[in-house]
Amino acid sequence: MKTEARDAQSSPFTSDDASDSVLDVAQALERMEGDRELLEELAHLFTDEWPKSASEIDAAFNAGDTTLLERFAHGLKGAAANVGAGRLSTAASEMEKLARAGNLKTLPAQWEIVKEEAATLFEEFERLYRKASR
Amino acid sequence: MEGVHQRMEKTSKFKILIADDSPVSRRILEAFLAKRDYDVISVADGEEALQVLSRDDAPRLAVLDWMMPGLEGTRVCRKLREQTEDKPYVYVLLLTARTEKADLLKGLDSGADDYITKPFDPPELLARLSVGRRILDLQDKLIAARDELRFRASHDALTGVSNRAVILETLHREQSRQEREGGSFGIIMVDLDHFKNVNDTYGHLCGDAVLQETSKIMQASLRPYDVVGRYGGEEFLIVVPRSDAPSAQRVAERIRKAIAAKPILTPAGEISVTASFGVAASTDAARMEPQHLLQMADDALYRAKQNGRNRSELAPASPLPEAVPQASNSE
Repeated sequence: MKTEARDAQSSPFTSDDASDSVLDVAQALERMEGDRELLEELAHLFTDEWPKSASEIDAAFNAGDTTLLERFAHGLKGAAANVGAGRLSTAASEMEKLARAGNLKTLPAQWEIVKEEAATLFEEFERLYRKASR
Repeated sequence: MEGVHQRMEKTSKFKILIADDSPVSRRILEAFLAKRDYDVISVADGEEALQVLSRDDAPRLAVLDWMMPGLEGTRVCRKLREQTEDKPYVYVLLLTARTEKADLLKGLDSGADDYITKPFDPPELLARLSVGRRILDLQDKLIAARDELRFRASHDALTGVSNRAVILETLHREQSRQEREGGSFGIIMVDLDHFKNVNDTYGHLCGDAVLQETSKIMQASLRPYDVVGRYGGEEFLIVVPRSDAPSAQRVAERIRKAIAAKPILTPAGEISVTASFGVAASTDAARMEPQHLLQMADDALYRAKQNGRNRSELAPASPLPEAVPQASNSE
């Protein structure tokens, strides 16, 4: 896999250290026992799932359903952490907290942040896996 | 969401169910466990999880995500524990991002056996799964031991047919059924001819072999719902449900011929054996109490002995008058 400058500085052992990284491949690989194919598969899975998740979150916003938002944010937090997407995971975690507090005022702004982080992550995936897979 | 992904592999692998609505989390867990030689079945929600766990060949180890749309992991646990108790126990590990103590207590209270927080730590997950397997293994051994004891408590140790208590219970059950539903049933009292001679001439080992072999012949000659039990030393009782006297006698004749057909191989060589049969039936026209029926069959058996052995006799169609039965004779 292509090297990444960020990998070197974050410890592969704890997820907290990776929370400021868009994509910590080393840490994700550690979790996947060095299975690069699996990581790539998950990146695709994550990317493919995204439009559906995003539209579900939008629908939850329209319905003003904070319980549902909390659940989605929660799931996103976990999935992002699993693929080593620290920043997205942190943003989703923040969104989960706001949703749990029922804070509909600040939630939309946080959702925008989450979407930006996701977009950045997908660019990273694209950069990593486009060459590798073609 | 995808449906059930099942990997059909060798049955030697330990089956495990994963339920997680996130495709990414699910895939990670799936890949991780498949590498550990688990046979992974993964589903995306609680309803599916419950469905898989209710199947006959259900996995006995399950990792359930707490937060799932529809049925949450804890509710799957509750429903699972409400199911009938003769199903094999499913060891459930809840997967949760919740770390509040109150949440964990709630999880365990729902019937989960253990929990693990996400993102999971691989060695910890494996360790907790092996705890589960240890407990399941222990349970299997206990169930096997219980089944063995149950069998021994209800069967005759030498011949493997029902013991006296069980065959009498079967007779009473058949009578109750007749009271409820009507119809008839028969019983056959079987006694091996000159069995004492076998023991005296060839020894008890040979006597035992004769009892074992004739038991096998009887069992092989019966329909699946007929029951044979060892009633006394060389005496057997057969309950023949849903049969009138003639058809019960046909069963007796079938067994008689099968026993007499060829000599039995014993440690002392081949021994020719025959048996005598007393048949009685309780019909709608003439219902009889178990005790009375036994008496009738015993009397018929006595006549079979009197009339030369290796034969079957049928009890008279009409029951004996109330006070009579007392001429009990078995040889």
